[in-house]
Amino acid sequence: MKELTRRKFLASSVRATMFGAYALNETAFAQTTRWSNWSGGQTCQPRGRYDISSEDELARLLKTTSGPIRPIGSGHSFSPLVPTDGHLVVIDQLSGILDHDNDTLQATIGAGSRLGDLGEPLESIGQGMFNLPDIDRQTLAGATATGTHGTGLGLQCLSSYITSLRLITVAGDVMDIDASDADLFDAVRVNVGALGVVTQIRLQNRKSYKLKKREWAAPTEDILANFDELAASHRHFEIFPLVYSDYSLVLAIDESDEPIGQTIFPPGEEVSLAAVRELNADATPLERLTRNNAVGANIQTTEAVDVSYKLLSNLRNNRFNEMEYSVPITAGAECVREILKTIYDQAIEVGFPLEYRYVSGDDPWLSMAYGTEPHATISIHRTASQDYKPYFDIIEPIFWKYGGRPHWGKLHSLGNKELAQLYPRFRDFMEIRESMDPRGRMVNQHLRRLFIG
Amino acid sequence: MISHTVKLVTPLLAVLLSACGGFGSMHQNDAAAFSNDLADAAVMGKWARSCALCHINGEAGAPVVGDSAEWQRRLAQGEALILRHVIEGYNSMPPLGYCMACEESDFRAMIGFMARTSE
Repeated sequence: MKELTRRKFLASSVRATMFGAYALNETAFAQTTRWSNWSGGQTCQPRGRYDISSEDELARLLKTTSGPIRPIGSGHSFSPLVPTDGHLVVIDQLSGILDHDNDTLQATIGAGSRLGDLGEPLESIGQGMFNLPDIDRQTLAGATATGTHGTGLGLQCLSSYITSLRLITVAGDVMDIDASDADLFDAVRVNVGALGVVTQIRLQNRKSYKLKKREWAAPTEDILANFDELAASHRHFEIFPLVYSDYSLVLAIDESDEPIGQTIFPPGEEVSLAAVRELNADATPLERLTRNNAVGANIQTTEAVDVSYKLLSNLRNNRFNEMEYSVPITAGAECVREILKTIYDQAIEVGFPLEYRYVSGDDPWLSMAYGTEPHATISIHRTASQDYKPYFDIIEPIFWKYGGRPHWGKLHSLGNKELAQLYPRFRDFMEIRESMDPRGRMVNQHLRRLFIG
Repeated sequence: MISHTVKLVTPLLAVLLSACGGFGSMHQNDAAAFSNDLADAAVMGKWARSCALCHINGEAGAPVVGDSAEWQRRLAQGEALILRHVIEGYNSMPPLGYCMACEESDFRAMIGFMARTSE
């Protein structure tokens, strides 16, 4: 049996032809490089790119140009938020910590900063972000615009920690927006890049802190039966239910004063993931279940202690596409069960586990946890080299059945009529969008479906 | 089978929660060491904000700046193929290598820079 090291496995698992041939609109666009998102699932041929180096430059550009634009972070959204035949507005030069306050533990940050680049400089001023998503290559602007969240019953989405932000409007006007702006503040914190271009964000942080992460495996039903208590007893608690298995990987993270360190495994641990994949390639669902349960039952516990940002999020090497919905926590476990059963019953060819966690309710209008009650979020994934659509098309109606709200940066097929039923302030957001961009300069085909119809 | 699966702890979690992280913003600081080798400061800035993320430390199998043998092996495949890999993505490298502002001409300069630096 061929054995692979972990690194080689990671590399081999994403080998794929990401794109078919694409037809350039030849001469007119020949000078501009085609754009693609991280997974390769979204592409476009933009007319050009505006690589912005200052807020003044951006404001001047918006005042003096016309035609469609789409602001872009790091291209990590799986949904078609970016594709345009107009211009891409790149703001990654607007980055870094611009100022901070040691008393309030707030920091103003260039919106083009990547989350993964903020941990160290924030730590150097004694601050840490309350939470992070598990991918850290998004820009702060992109993560907040899409309502990106981490894990934690007591923790809200990133946008909820915004105390103020600067928006350059489509007309090129500079707006500093905070809670005193009421509705506009609640709309702009999760704005899907539809209200203007956010250039800087002031975040409420906390004192820098360490976390202890513990990972293990357990029977999924045992965890689901006690999920509320487990989520309440850990700062972060989530599971990755294995498909074709009765087991889940379990992840619990809590604050810690222990020394930095992690579980060390002896040499020889990096073996044989290929073995499981090869064995499962032509297996029946029952054969997979038997094998995967054997894997689940033998997974050992690991622990790590480190500064918060080093444990909360990571760089992903194996590219994929993702769909994520939030549902009321009272419906979460049943929704997970139905998805797992559907995968098994329909013998869907998928190896990625689900991801299941709780987040606190919050108040940005388009947050998927909007409201006073916490929400459960459930994600499904598909390796980037595989066609995600057949799998996602089967699972998405299950989310709808449980009242699911989609994550804006992840794949879904809803339009504004359905979304208005799910987000209580959705029509208010549509009105604000209309007032700020009446000509729809920032609206691409996808956003038209979301906000105009 | 069990004899294999017993050992899966770290790799399995790593795949499912996979990370190549751990170096935070280090790449931007290290990139300064190469700034004199790339004539166009704007292109250097783009490189420092994107490609350097993995090409400084060889994350995810990326060829490291300064690894002469590896760059020569890659260059032997021809610039067109390397450029295609950058724009379309290749293995763990996402399309455009995380440089949303980069045009093809930038990528040509960056490839040349990383290859020349290894000489």
